[in-house]
Amino acid sequence: MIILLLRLVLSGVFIYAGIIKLLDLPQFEQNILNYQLLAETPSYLLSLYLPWLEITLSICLKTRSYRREASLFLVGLLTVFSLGLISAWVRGLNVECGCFGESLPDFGYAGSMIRNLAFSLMVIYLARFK
Amino acid sequence: MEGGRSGARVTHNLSHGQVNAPYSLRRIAILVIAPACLATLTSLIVSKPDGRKISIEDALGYSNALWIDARSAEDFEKNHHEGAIHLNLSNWDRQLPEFLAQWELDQAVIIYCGSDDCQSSLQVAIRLQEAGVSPLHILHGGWEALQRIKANKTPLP
Amino acid sequence: MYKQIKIASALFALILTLHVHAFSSLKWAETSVTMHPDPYTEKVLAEFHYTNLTKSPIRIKKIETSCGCMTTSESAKIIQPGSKGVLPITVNLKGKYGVIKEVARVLYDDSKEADGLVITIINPKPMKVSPPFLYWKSGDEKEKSISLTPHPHLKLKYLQMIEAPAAFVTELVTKAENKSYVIKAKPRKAQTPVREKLVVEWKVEGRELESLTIYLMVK
Repeated sequence: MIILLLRLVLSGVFIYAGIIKLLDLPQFEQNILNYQLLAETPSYLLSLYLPWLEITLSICLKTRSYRREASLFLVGLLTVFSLGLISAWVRGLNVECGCFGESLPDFGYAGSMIRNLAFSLMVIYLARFK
Repeated sequence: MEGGRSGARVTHNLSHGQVNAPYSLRRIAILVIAPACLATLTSLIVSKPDGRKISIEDALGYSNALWIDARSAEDFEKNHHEGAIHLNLSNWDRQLPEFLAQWELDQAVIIYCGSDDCQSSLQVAIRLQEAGVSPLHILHGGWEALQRIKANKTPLP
Repeated sequence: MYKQIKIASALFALILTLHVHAFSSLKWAETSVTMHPDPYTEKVLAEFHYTNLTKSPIRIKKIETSCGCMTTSESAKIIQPGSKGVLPITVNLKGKYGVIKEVARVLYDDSKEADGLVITIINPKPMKVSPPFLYWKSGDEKEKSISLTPHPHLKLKYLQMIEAPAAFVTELVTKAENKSYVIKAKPRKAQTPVREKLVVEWKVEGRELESLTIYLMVK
């Protein structure tokens, strides 16, 4: 029961994150650019790709056959997000995470990182159940 | 990677119900490709008719487009695309008559500045869009892309 | 699963170390600033605050700028461990309008790394003209209008049309005295291609008379 609930929450969170970004793509593109890691074209492509990736993964999280691959992928994605955040932090950039568009208040670097870690642990935990 | 590949074979032989079944490369590939397809679709739907960038190949494919160079005066004097009009927000009042004299109704207008990083082509595009000039394009990669084509190198992806 | 997690965390650690290692230069409080000067501003000053967080002195070798319009009073300089400072960069705005984006690169003595400091300035024109010109397709007789809005920080004394085009019916409408104007126009002969101009003159308190030309045409 708890597992079912966790699963719902987790995939809900990622679907939400994906849709929020899709609704304001230029803003998300700007968020990616602010990290100063990618040029304009890759940022544009990524801003189109990432929301759909999040949505696909969270839907697959609920299917039996794709669950494990989707979990692995999500953990990888969260790691990449965290790396991006750390690199911005280290370079002294003041970026907004961009994780949930403009809809949620910014958690700051540490907050976003802890959140990512928590999500990763949840995904790993859930992947162990069929 | 090796593990994943052999895993793909194993999963075909084993039943799907096993908790510890290895990852299927095929499924991972689907997970990668599906969002890419959706992203492509999105780009087709949401691409703004004006202002979204045009690739250097598409730009050079226009037979009678009007080119605008929005870089600084020094850069323009050094070199510019053949036939391009020099127009940016700094010389707007002086150069607008030249643009108006050359521009034909429904003629495509292609605007470039130094690279992808500069803002001036976008600003000129916004002004011309206000006036109803269409179709209007910003050259992706700007002058750098034009230079690469001239040097016969393939443009960066 | 655990194998992948191990690999991922190893990569994570590696990239983190690389990053910390690469970060041997100054710590900047901000690496990009955006400024919104009032119209007629000739120079803006951007200040970048830094701290030497390393245990050894850092020497700034030189500062490269993306435009001859940028100057800085600082040149080669040694920053002691733990000390703070400000790097002032002045940008000359003469003749530049719209979004101006300039970059200063700070080069250090014993590092191949350079820090890029980005200054974005939005330098407004005193009078906003929207749209910038009017055109009619041949046969179109519809009345069109252009709005003239002085920058809100300026005190306008007056505005008037001093030259009207012969081929168009034009009218200057005051929407709000010294704050907002509209020029309404339509062609007298909608079939004949023509390009003409009208000239508007205005005065801002404490400044000389100014004018601008607006083009109207039938294509």
